[in-house]
Amino acid sequence: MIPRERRLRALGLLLVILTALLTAFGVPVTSAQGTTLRVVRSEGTLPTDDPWSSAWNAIRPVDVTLSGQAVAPPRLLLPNVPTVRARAMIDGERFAVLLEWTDTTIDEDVIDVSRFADQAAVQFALGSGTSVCMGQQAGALNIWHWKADWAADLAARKDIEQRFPNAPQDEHLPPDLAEGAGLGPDGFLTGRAAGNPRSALVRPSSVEDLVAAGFGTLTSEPLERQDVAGASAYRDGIWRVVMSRRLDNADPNDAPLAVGSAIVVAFAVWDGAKGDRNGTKSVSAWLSLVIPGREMSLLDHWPFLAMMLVVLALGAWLLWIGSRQPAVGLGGPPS
Amino acid sequence: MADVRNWQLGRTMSYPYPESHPDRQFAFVFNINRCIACQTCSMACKSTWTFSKGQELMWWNNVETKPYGGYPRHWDVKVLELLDEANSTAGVEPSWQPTTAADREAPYGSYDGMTIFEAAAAETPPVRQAVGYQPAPDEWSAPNIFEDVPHPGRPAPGSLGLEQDGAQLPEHVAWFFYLQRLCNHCTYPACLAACPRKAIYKRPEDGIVLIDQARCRGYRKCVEACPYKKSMYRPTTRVSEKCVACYPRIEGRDPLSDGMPMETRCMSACPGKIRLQGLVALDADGSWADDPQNPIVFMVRHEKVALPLYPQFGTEPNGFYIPPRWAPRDYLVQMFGPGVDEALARYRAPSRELLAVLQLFRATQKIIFRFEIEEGPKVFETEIDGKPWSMYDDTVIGFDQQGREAVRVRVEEPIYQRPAPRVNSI
Ligand code: SF4
Ligand code: SF4
Ligand code: SF4
Repeated sequence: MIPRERRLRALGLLLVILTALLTAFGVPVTSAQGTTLRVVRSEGTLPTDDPWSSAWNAIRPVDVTLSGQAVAPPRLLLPNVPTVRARAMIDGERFAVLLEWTDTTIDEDVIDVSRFADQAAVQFALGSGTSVCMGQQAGALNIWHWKADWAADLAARKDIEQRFPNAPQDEHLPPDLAEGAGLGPDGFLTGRAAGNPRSALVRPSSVEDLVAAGFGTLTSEPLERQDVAGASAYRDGIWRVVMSRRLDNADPNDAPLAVGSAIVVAFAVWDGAKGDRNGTKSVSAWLSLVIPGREMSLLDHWPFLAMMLVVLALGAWLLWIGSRQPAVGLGGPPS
Repeated sequence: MADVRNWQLGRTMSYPYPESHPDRQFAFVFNINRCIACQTCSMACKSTWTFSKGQELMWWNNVETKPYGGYPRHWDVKVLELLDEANSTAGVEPSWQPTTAADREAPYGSYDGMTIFEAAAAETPPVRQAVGYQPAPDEWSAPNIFEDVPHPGRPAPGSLGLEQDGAQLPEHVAWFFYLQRLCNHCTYPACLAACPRKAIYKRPEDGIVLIDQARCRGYRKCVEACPYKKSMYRPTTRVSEKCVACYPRIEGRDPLSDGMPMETRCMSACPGKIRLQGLVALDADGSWADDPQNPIVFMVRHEKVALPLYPQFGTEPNGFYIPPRWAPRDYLVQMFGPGVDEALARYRAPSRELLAVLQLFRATQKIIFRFEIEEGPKVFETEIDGKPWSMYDDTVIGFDQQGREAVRVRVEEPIYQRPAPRVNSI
């Protein structure tokens, strides 16, 4: 009979080889267990502006199960949106992800104090050891956050008149006074003066590019580094949202989206009609987003094959040494 | 959840963050008995802070008529109802247990009902930091409407709010009083506790609670959690705003203030002279420093004539009210806690010192840090509640932060008699 420790050693060796093989062929074995979203190489132009384009329909989506957010208050125990369907594409320059979910209402009004907008987000882990909950100290997150209210604002920013046509229209600052104080007729718009992107008069996109490293640390990237584009359309009870960005943009706070790489991602969806905002959201577990490289020939694998040969030789040698020693040492049964 | 000390409840309670206290606390005393509902305070605030677009429905300071009125509509009834539900679900029969009169840190006894924080923690499963609700737009949109009609609710069209059957006589059961409200700059703010963004902070120098306008992401958790409904959402900037306690004046940066801390706009504008605002020094453990020469400390902690608004909510509000003498006691006890009887007894027959301190209301815009009384002659004698009571024409002197005399007032108002030719000349 083969001694126990030798069997264990052989098993360990097998595992190492298996892991190496799986990793080499793009199957993730890190923390991202679960579904994998394989990015499809686009044949024509990337449909970044058209969520309902036939090019998107041609891709089979990955159904991602969402759960509530029960870690930090405000909590949501059962998801208001149980599934999101995800697709992703690249061309030579850009990466685009399409999220699609069922929602019975369009919620894009945030003028009314009691209403909240539909939203969706993709979060990318920057570095390893990141928690799915807004990132932890060990690793930060890059978050792309689409908001239905921001999308609705793109054509023309919504204001009180649209939501409440009969609301009192006070005569605000007289023009001479307003100009003297460097203000418009709307007077002091405090959030805007403080540079809050929510209060901005114009925004470059319906998607906000953010970083986070733990609960309460969500931070909007500076305006010049807001480089995620958005396109969204609601049809027959379904929201479709495309978020896209240039491939690797050399911004250390942004997800490195390199051809031939994999990155861990998670999704979140908010249903405005249910009062979802902030932590009251439906979230996925980590997924692996695999961005394929160009097609590879067997020869492209030579460094890997060479390494495998070395590992195998080393393993065989260890086994041979082991077979020549008496069965003593750690973990051995008392003789 | 941490255990924190709430002196108004006479016990420790749970709060999402551990205790951490400012050096001084912004606080105020309102004498409800004197308010004439002129709304000068509301307009002083509005014309200073909330005159811009998107703030039309925002009244950081408001005056509502109790019992029917409320801004936002029925705010207090709704919060009381939420707490009632939580208490009855938990099988708690809330009551105030008497404590020894000597217990300075439990002046009203000990409250055994659940606070808004404890009610949230008791929910199964717990999902939020405080129980609360989100008022709908129409609840903010018509402050004071229908408050002063004989019966609650919308009057019949064309009735002008007058009852067909008239008021019932001879028994006159109607009563009302005005309640003046602004943010209480609470010791344990629910707005701050509920903000997942940590965009709300309490200033270490004066305990003023502010919303960081750059950090707020418009989640409105503060609007939902503040039991006094004093955190408000602004549609034009899509973030929340609240009373800033006129902090430039508190910091002595108002050009009029001579570098000295100055009372806020809503305080100093009050023609009814019902308002006195100050800064209370705190000990390291957060309890009020025993400073009986500070007029706020004197009235709240020594005379106990002014009481916190709905202490049972658990935020330890820093606004205190001298209750109205004429309203039903059980209603007042629900609103101000069990100290009502004692407060009213002391207000009806004020001590010599209290009568002098009451003259400081609206005598100066500077914040009074210390008062002294110079004794004057006895000018009046009577009986109140069967006991003899005397009035003295004392002089009360208020001092600013640097100990300089800021104001001097006598108990008896000076009387000027117009010379005969000009009597009734207006
Ligand atoms: S200004 Fe004074 S008297 Fe007038 S409503 Fe306000 S608190 Fe009452
Ligand atoms: S009154 Fe409301 S808004 Fe003001 S500090 Fe207290 S909880 Fe916050
Ligand atoms: S303290 Fe200042 S900001 Fe607050 S309600 Fe009064 S006037 Fe308005």
